[in-house]
Amino acid sequence: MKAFRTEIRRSISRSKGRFFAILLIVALGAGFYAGLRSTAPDMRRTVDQYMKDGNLMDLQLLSTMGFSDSDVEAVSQVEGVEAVMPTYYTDAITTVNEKDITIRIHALPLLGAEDTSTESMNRPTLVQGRWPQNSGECVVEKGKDLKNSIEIGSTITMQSCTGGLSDTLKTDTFTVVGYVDSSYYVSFSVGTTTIGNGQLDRYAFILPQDFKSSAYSTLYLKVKGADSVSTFSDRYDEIVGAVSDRLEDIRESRQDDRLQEVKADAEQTLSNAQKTYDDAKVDTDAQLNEAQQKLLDGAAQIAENERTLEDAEKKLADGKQEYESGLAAYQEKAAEIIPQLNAAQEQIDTGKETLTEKKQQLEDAEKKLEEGKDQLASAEQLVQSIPQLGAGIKQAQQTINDLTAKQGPLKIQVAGLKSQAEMLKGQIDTLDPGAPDYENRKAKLQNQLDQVNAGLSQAESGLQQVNDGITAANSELQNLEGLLQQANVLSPQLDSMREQLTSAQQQISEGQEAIASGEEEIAANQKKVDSGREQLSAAKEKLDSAQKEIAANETRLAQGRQQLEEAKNTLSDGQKSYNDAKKEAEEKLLNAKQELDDGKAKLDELKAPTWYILDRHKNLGFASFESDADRMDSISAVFPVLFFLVAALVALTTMTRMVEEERVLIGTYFSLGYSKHTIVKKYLLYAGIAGVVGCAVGIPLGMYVLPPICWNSYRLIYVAPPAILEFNLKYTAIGFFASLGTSLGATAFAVVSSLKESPASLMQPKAPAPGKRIFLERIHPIWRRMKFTSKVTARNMFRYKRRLIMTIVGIAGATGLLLTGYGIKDSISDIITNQYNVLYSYNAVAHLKDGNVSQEAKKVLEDPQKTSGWMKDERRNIDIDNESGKSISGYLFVPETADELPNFVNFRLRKSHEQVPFGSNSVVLTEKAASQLGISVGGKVLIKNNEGKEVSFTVTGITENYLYHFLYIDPVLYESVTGDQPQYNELCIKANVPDSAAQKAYSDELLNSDGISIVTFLRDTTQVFEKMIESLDNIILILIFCAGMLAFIVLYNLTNINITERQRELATIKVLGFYDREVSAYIYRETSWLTILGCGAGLLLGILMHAYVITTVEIDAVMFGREIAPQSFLYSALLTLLFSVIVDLFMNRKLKRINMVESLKSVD
Amino acid sequence: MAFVEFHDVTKFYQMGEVSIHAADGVNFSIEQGEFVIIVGPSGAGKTTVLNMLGGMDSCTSGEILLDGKKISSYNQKQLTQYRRYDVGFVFQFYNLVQNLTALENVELASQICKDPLDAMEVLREVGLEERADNFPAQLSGGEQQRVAIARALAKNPKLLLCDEPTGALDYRTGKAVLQLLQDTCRNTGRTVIVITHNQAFTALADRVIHIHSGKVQKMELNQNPMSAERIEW
Repeated sequence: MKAFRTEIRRSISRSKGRFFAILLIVALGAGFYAGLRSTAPDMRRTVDQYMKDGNLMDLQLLSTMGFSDSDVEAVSQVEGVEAVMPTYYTDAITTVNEKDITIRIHALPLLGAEDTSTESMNRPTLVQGRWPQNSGECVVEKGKDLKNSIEIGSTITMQSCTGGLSDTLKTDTFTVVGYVDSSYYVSFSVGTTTIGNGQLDRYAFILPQDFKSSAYSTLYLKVKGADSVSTFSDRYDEIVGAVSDRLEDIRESRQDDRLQEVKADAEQTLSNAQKTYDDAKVDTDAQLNEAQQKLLDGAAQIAENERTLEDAEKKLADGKQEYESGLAAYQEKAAEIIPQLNAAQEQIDTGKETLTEKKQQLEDAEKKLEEGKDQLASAEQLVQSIPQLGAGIKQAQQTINDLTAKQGPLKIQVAGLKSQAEMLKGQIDTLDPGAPDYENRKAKLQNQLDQVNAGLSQAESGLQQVNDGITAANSELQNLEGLLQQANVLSPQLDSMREQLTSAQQQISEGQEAIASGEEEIAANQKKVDSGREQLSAAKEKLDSAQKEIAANETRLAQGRQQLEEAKNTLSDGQKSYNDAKKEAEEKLLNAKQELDDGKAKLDELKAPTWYILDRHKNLGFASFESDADRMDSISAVFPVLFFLVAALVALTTMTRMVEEERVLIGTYFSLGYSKHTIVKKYLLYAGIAGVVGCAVGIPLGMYVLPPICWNSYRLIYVAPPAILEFNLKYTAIGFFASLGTSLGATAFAVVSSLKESPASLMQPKAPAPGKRIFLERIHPIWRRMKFTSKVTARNMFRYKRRLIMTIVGIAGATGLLLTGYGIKDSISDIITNQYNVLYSYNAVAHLKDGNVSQEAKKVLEDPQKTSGWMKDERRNIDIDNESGKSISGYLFVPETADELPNFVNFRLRKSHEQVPFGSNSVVLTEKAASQLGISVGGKVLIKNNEGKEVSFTVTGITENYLYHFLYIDPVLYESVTGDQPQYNELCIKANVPDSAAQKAYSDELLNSDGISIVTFLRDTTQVFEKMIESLDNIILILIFCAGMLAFIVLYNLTNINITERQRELATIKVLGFYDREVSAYIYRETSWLTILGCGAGLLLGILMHAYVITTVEIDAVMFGREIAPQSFLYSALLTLLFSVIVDLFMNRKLKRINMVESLKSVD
Repeated sequence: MAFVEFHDVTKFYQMGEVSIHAADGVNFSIEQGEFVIIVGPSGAGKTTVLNMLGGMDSCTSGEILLDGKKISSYNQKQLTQYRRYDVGFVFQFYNLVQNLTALENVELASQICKDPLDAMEVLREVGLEERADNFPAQLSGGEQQRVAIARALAKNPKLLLCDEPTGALDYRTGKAVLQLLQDTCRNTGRTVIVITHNQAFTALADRVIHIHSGKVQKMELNQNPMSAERIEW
């Protein structure tokens, strides 16, 4: 058997193409199956783990009255309840980036966000930042990039729609310290609320201490044993369902107990209030009395003070009178004395004046005396110097004579010198200049002349000195002669001058004596006058001080009077405020009494609360994820079948071909004595090895590649961790056995059918499949007109039916996959274009704060440049029910005027585009809502009015719609049926905004107007959905890849078989002189026709698959487009053809390699 | 100048390290309108010569001339054209396309020629008028070979090359086919070259070329060729 095994090994290595074809198709089929099948389990496992990690509650209890500690106690006593976490939440509105958003605020677990005990449920995961540590800190949802981000470190202020949140929160301003994800919110939308526009935008967590509610808002429950199974399993539902039922059992009694509790609490509160009221009343009365007493005491004090003041005033008046009489006496006396004193003073002053005059005279006389004395002395001196004067005169005369004598000779000398100089000059002039010694003689003469001139100037200066000396002696002589004459005059007068001087001396001494006695007398008189004046001023001083004292007393009294007045005013103010306070206090007491009475009345009316027991299926994120996972399951159950089918066909044709090729070998084995069993085993082994290797490659690849791609696409709309991949044994086994089964089955079929022949005939080459007439030939008109080559192609195509089917199915599968992919994209992209561009004629929505459109806003809305139209409406989340109780969540839309609405919303039928009328009494429901509720025109929908009473409307029309569910109702009808006035809360606007800048400007202007809180442009909403659609691109890529692989394998296989099987034929036509091009065309024409046929079938298949997938994948609030765009058909077909061209190009090499010499060989 | 000329034609095949000399300096010439038999034992190189003459293979060196054209220097495209317009082939195993009727098989060749003969006419000439609409599987070996000859003739080729045309046929049928070829040569003046290992056929030929070990051993002209009906083997 060793040789046999070697032969098997060689047959593999010698036919790699064939072997890999089987291997690849098995890998693709098994991989695609296993990968797609395990996607949903992987998704569920990932989310299950995520929920377990966050310790998501199994059950959640809500009550209209909250929960008390005794509720908590009762619930935790229920069998199967592992832990209870009582906690708080509240909804608030905050402003982020100038937009109002609604936010749900939860309390973190009491033991901290990171506590892993069972009691700490619904723990969020910190994504960035840190956990809150202090009051006033919060962590918010990270938010998908579509939402407005709240920056870490920013501060947000929470408001309820009515104002503050002081009833529920200790503080309303929170600092964002981190971002979190929560398994409680896996889906993109957070949920609904009763505030804002009804849609929650975000969630946040704060410290539980920051809540001040007395009753717990909700209870989270963990069920024993629930965590040991997958949350998506039936077992989980059983375990949790049992506990839920038990909770249902205690619910009634707890509701009543809670009512009693609340009542008791309220009664307690009321009685406390009553007591407080009574106390307050007593207290108030006492306080009032006290105040009154104080007022009376004050009045008495004031009266006493007034009396004291009056006494003082009287005393002052007496003093004043006394002072005045004293003043009068003083004035009288002063009038008498002062003239006397003045006269005396006058006398003194005159005396003093006379004395002064006399002193002056005396001084003049003394001065004259002194002058006389001086004259006398100088006269005496002159007289004594007479002899000396005579001598001086003589000497001066002598000097004059001496000098005159010297004058003459000097004059002669000068004249001599002068003439000598003249002579010398003449000599010089007469000298002959031509004489030979001229120069010498001239110099000699010049020298002599210079000496003469020097002597001349010396003589002249000597003469000058003598003349000067004569002049000086003459003036001295004259002076001396004057003096001598004066002395001779004075000499006789000297004695009389001496006598006169002595008598003048005597007179001066007498005058000095008389002045001294006069001064003495005047001083005595002055003393007398001064003492009289002193007496008077002393009397005056006394009087003045008395006056000052009186003035001071008067000021003090005035102050006292003023204080008294003030006290009186204060007293009267006190009286007034006492009256006011008394009135106020009485009013307050009255109100308090009223409140008390009201409270008592309310308490009597109080009804039992309602409990809501919610399991995870009621959690929005959980529910939508669960249905998405289910959808994934149903899709994955369909697509792979196609691959298995193709795999079986590929294996069948390939193995048939192999068996045919090896029939002589088989015959030989037979003849050598190998059993049929052994021979079959060879081919089964061949196919089996290809299959096993294919599975070994394909399944792990599929299982580890496809789920993450799909999950990551989903993660654009779910917040959850990356996929937790697990090797799924179940689907591995199914994939493995299914692919192996198909390939082995096909092989067995091929081999066994061959082995029916006898060994002898097997040894003969198998007659080539005989040519046959095909059906088309019977239609002569067509057949005759066909070109020869087309006839050949047509006949060849139908000659090998197995290949025909394989190719058509394979290509159809590929095209179908492509079309499904593109179709899905079309259907979903359609939503946006149809909804926002076709069905809605408005492009913006503005939220109204109080239902009124301010004048400012109207300025924008009624400017035709800016706005083409606007309409007021009410839009809010409601439950729409049908009569059999089925309920869906949708929007109620009530326009202000019914006739206006069709200008903003295009009501029409989806298929025929026929208009659906809307006017008075119209009730129009959107298509998907209608189909979900099973309502047609004329059917009834039920909604609750504001009092919670159910009212019904008859549907008058059903309109095309893709996003969300809407119930459009005429306002008049709405009001008359519900009894509620429509609460208009938004504007639909047709704004003229060509670009995003204009859009921004428009919304800014509108937001700045009063009464408008949010402006949303549909274009922005579109972007959110476009993001979702991007996720589909991945899925389409997978589909294109798989389709390409499928097409490639099928076409490759087909062409490969075609070429090897018909090698001889091809060689022959080559010998006949067919060009390479024609040889290729000979084969490819068949391939192309098959591809085109397959393509056509694929497009049909695609339509079916698309319809199935779309209805399966669709989420509740959305209706996907049902149409596939024409270009998608085109793309799918073109891509398929492209794959076929690629295969053709690939196979061309093989065609070229065909050796013509083959044609000469015998058939073997 | 002769119609077909081989001058020192060699053909080497490199099989790994061994070089096989399939043709090792072949020289011969053939005149137009001759019925030529190339004869030699298996592996002598007859088929190589035929392949080269038929434009299915190229020579390693030397030159091949047909009607003055140097085929040995043709490129692939020219060789294809040469096969298409100038040569008709008859194979040992007929090589009919199974999926085409007898007539269509003839048409397969005639459709690509410039100046083809009428397919039906040629079929009539080979005596298969009534079997025109039959598929090869419905024909006997001799009939199939006659269809093959008709297919070759329909192209109106300058040269008809036959590789062991009787190899798969019984004695009688083989004789009939040989007769058909001989008649074709005589009646249409077409040059027919038949390759065989059967020495007995040499009597039919105008010219006999003996090939041995890749060389022309000898070439002889037959002044009085016999009719195919009269030869025995």
